[in-house]
Amino acid sequence: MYKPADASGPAQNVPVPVLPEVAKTETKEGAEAFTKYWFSVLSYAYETGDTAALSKLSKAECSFCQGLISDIEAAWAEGRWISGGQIEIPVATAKPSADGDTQVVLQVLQKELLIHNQDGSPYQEKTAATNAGSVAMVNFAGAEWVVNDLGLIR
Amino acid sequence: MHYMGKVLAILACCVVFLTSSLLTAYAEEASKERPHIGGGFVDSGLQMGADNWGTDPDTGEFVRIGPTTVSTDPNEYKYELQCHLGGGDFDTECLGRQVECTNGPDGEEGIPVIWYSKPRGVPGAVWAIHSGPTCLYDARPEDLLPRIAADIQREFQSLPISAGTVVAQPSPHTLRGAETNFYAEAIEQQFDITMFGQAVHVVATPVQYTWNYGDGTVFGPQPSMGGPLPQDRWGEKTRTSHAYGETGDFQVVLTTSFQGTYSVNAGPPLPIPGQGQFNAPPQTVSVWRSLTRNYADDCNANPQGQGCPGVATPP
Repeated sequence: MYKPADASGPAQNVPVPVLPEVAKTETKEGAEAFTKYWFSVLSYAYETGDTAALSKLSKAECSFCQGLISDIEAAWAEGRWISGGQIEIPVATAKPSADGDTQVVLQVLQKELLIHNQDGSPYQEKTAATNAGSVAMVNFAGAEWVVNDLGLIR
Repeated sequence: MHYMGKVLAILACCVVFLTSSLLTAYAEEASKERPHIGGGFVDSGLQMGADNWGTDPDTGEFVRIGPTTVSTDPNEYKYELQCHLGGGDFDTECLGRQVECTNGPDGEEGIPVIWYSKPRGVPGAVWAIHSGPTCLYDARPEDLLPRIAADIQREFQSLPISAGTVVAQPSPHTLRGAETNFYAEAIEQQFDITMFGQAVHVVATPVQYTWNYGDGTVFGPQPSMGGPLPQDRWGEKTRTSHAYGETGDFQVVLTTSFQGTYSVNAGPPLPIPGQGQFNAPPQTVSVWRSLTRNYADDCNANPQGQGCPGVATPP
């Protein structure tokens, strides 16, 4: 049974995101489904502190991806955990881009997030829920999609 | 008894002193041990400087754009009546625990609203709850926001915003042909005003500066407010320094452009579309010329010699 995190401890039995079949195809729908999947893996990393799958799906050159991974790892270090922070992607639209990548423009909703110390007390002030536009540059390398670059729209 | 009182007072003083010093030490310790961790997608992105994607005006595509001085809020906002399900339908259970909106600025009744936001430029983006419920006080709340939006620019320009102060180095006298360093001291300012019976909070942030050096030279608008130079470096060229070609008194005027946000009844900060221009009081700079003469005489041997103290210099 899934139990979200709170001040008493981290989330339990967080469902592992599953890559949909369509996300394995080099199509517009594939790019969109893959990007949504990438963000569900990001959401999973916030809830569990496990960034292994996220690293595999992100290129080393994607500095924002690497920044997210290191921030999540820092939040989960020394017995700390995160409550909240779940991500939802209401919409993602892909189109080919000039440099051979596929550009996916999406909306990212993230719930209020709090980092807890080992004793459950707040590590720092909570981060309010956010609603942001984002751009993911994805590339079908070999037989699967990967995130090459990621940004926030201002 | 008097004696007792005195002793107690001294004790009380020392306890307070101890507590405050302990608190300071604790606060310093806490900030040392706890570096801020990027919390969440947007927070991490802002810290990484990843918020640099915008629409290319030529192609309409999203591209990485260079840093600009003027950042705008990437979201747009609207509000809906609290518990409103659309059309004529309301959530009756929600209505039962609806926020009470009495005691408006003029004592009138208001309506509870929920604020929504969505990112601009994302095709098909949905509205998500931003904040609330908060109260709006107006007979026609549905057109309140457009009315405030239509008027906010005029209100903004008429606020008593201080353009900042002008500092010249050296001052008030400087030399012809030498670099005089000018810098502005302008800060963010906040105002609480009332518009259409609503409490409106305005935050004005200085973003651009225009220097009119008073000799026909105008520099700006540009994003640098300049900065002070230590005295031993006066005369160096800086981004905002100016060298006068003529002697005389010049009125230096700084015009600061402010960008603003406004929030209605503690709602989200909404960007004010235009910038407001405000002038600092003029500062007078006297430009002198310097003249160097060399004398062979010794003032001890010839106290009446030219250049010696108390002797009139030739015209």
